[in-house]
Amino acid sequence: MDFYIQVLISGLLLGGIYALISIGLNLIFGVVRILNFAHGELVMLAMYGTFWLYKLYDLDPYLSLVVVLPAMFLFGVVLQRFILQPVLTTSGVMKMFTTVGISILMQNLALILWKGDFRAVQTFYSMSTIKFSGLIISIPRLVAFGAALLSIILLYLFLKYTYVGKALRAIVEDHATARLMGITVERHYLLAFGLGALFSALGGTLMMPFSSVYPTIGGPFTALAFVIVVLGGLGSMGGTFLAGLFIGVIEAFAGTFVSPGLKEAIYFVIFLLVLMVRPQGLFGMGRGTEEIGLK
Amino acid sequence: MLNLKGIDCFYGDFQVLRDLSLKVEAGQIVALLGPNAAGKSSTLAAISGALPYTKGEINFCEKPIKGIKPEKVVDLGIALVPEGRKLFQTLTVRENLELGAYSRHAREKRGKTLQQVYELFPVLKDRSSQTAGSLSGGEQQMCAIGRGLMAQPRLLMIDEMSLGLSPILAKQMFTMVQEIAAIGITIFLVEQQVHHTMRVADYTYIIEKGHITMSGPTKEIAANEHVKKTYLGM
Amino acid sequence: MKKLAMLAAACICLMQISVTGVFAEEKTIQIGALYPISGNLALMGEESWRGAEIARILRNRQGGVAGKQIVFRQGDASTNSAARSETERMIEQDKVKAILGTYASSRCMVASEVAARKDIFYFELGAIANAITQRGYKTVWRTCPTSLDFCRGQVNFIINWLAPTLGKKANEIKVGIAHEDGEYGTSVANSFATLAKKTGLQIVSVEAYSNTSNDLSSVIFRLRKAAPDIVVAVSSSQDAILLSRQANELGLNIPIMGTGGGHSFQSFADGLGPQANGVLNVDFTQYHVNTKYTPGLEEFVKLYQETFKHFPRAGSSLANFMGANVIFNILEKTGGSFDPEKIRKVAMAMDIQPGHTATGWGVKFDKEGQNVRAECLVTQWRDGKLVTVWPKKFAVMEPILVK
Repeated sequence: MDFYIQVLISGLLLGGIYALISIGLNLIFGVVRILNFAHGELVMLAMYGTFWLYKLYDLDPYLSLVVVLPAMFLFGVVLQRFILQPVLTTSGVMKMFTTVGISILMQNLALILWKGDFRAVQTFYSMSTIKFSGLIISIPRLVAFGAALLSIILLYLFLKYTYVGKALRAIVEDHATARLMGITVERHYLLAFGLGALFSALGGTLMMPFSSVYPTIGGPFTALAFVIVVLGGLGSMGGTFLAGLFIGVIEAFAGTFVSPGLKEAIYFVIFLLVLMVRPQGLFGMGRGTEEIGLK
Repeated sequence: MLNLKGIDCFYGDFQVLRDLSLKVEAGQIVALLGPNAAGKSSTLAAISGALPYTKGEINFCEKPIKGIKPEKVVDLGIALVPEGRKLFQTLTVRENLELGAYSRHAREKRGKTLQQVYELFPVLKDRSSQTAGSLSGGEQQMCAIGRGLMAQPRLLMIDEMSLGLSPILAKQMFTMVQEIAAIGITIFLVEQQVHHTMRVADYTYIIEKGHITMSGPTKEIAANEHVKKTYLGM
Repeated sequence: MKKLAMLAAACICLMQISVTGVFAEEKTIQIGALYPISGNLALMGEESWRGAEIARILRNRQGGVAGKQIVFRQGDASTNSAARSETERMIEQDKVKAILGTYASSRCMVASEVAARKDIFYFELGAIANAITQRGYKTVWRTCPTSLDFCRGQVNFIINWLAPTLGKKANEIKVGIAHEDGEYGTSVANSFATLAKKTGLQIVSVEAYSNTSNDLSSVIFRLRKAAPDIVVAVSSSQDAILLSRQANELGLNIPIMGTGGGHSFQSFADGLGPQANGVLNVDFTQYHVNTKYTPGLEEFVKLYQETFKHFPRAGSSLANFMGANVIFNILEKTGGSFDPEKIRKVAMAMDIQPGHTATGWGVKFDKEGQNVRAECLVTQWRDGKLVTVWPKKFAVMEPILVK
């Protein structure tokens, strides 16, 4: 029984991080209506940022958040303003290609600047664990999970109770009508993209104490985030969080009890099965899915 | 107050507005009537900045507003209640109303404006924490108009207000429009529902195939034989 | 009109390039150098190329081959299809008669097939898939060890050192395998399992995982259940760190022995810190080795550091250095000729005993073109350095057992 609980804990901790990364993608998709294929690269960039701050200035990964988060927010804003805004009125395919282009560009820039080497930080708490009644919990993973939970709650409160948050939700529903209200839609796009990048960055930085970074690390995150966002429902933040945990747990159990090599394949199969039954995702509102060909 | 002069407008190759000119005088209720696809909504879209036009100009309070984006047009004091209400379905009634006051000049006073809207439509106050999607058709229309009022407009444009409403409800809505006009807001009504509109409008334009074919004080228009035959079914 | 003029200009440019190409060919020896220098294999691909490049610089300083300077025509095998097209380009446009490379087995399989069909020599200096020299191509040669040689190194170590150290017989030793599920990991793991079973070792668990995975806890859980005496890991890159970290996190107290790849990177030790201490590995010859048996290694390191301003990042550059030298020696003896018969004759006649090259490998090609005297050494991470611990004559330290 302990063994099952241990696997469950592993899965949940992993899922928290997944949710954090995916929520940024969901925000960007929901508000800006762009399928951001460079999402994983945002995670990558934040991880490198954390690594270099550690390497060059001896800055602890958690402290580096103070630098990395604003920087990545700004990066997201710049990306949206100068690269994506100009293609916003073109076709969905065009927007998609643009983000794919950004993704390739960022990967190769990382490769040129920082080489293909994988980099990791060493902290005194990297390997620290909590042990009780036969269970082992990694502290940095627990911290990451806690921060994921907290920031997703904060995002929820922001969207629910602030005027700007309400405007963002209005844009998610109907940006043309939002405009009629005097909502400066493009400026809110900047905010949404910045926030999306910030959440990915948070995920990336929190992973650094127990993970490594290399130029192509982003690809799998992008794929994973797409699965989670679609599964949880486009536009549903709570759905994304639960779907993230769901995928993490599936991955842990499938990996442990079926085969570690098949765990990705298994969650993709489950993903497809869920979509067959509920095309709008587990918690989706059903809108917006047509844009990625699910409806 | 609002003055459209010689507007030509295209959807791709298709010309939706041809040399369209009309005026909305301050303090009046002005109606734009016409059959389906005559260019009524396009006229509103052109005014609100959502649809670019190739020829002509639009002046609001003597100032040209060509090229101003929709989110800025509302700042000038022009609010549009779009066809089909277009409420934010998953947001609450209150949130919908609040967002109506997003424009710069309305934002500060939104608390006060909200109370005025609640006074005008008490039902919205009762429903304030319900999602807009759960409202009945009539309530939705009230909410949409209330949202338009939240922008503190000088000119309120309402597109197809009576669409999908029962005759009794529609009648009530038109009465409501008169009340709104009475507090000093100029109203531009775009309608297919001719009877009720003519009851409340001071001045009427008839649009057919993107062109104004007839205009005049509502009483004169109502007396016109062509209008009687085509629109009033007499 | 403008377009036409530009086209004409482009044509002239192209012609000039090919003219200088032909001209240059007369006083130089042109060899294609195909490595993944961009894309996800770029790090080690480039490191491998550096080894060959150092060999080239050194040889040119000493007068080149058969009196001619050696020139590399570069190819970038960033993907398998790029490996194919770059090989074709080097053969058709650069007119190379021999290609060396490639670091990655999958790239080599593709590129060497293209070369072999056109009777162009393909010298593999760093890719280890057994199949490379088993396809009957007469012009494909390999100077480095195969994945089977890696496994031999591991099995010998387990039987001759681990078993006695644990006080067990070979057939009592239980081995768990964790490998990335790509071509590299799968083929090496299979080779190891086959060889290990033949020698009586018990394989208690074989865990494949994706090397892009960012969580290997399930691998650790499964290994923990199987409780082997040693875990043989075949990791391609950052998965090596992840495996060790999570093993530690989740209380898997079993020694880990890598199979080159991710376990050979300096970043493995840099990332893991003290945790890397004691992790075993088997690979091409590394730099902390008994230099009595690796003549030329110190000279290589010196020139490498002069050229690239830091210490070599992995043993692959050394292996490519050694291999490139073998090729240059062959070409020296053919008088710079690429005549297939001449090269074959010279290569087959080569007979260098172990301990006489920079990697310590001997040279003796079998009829398939494989150097049968290439071997893998067991190393261990000790205080951030990968030191050779087995076999004894190459060792600079005694192995230790760290769980």
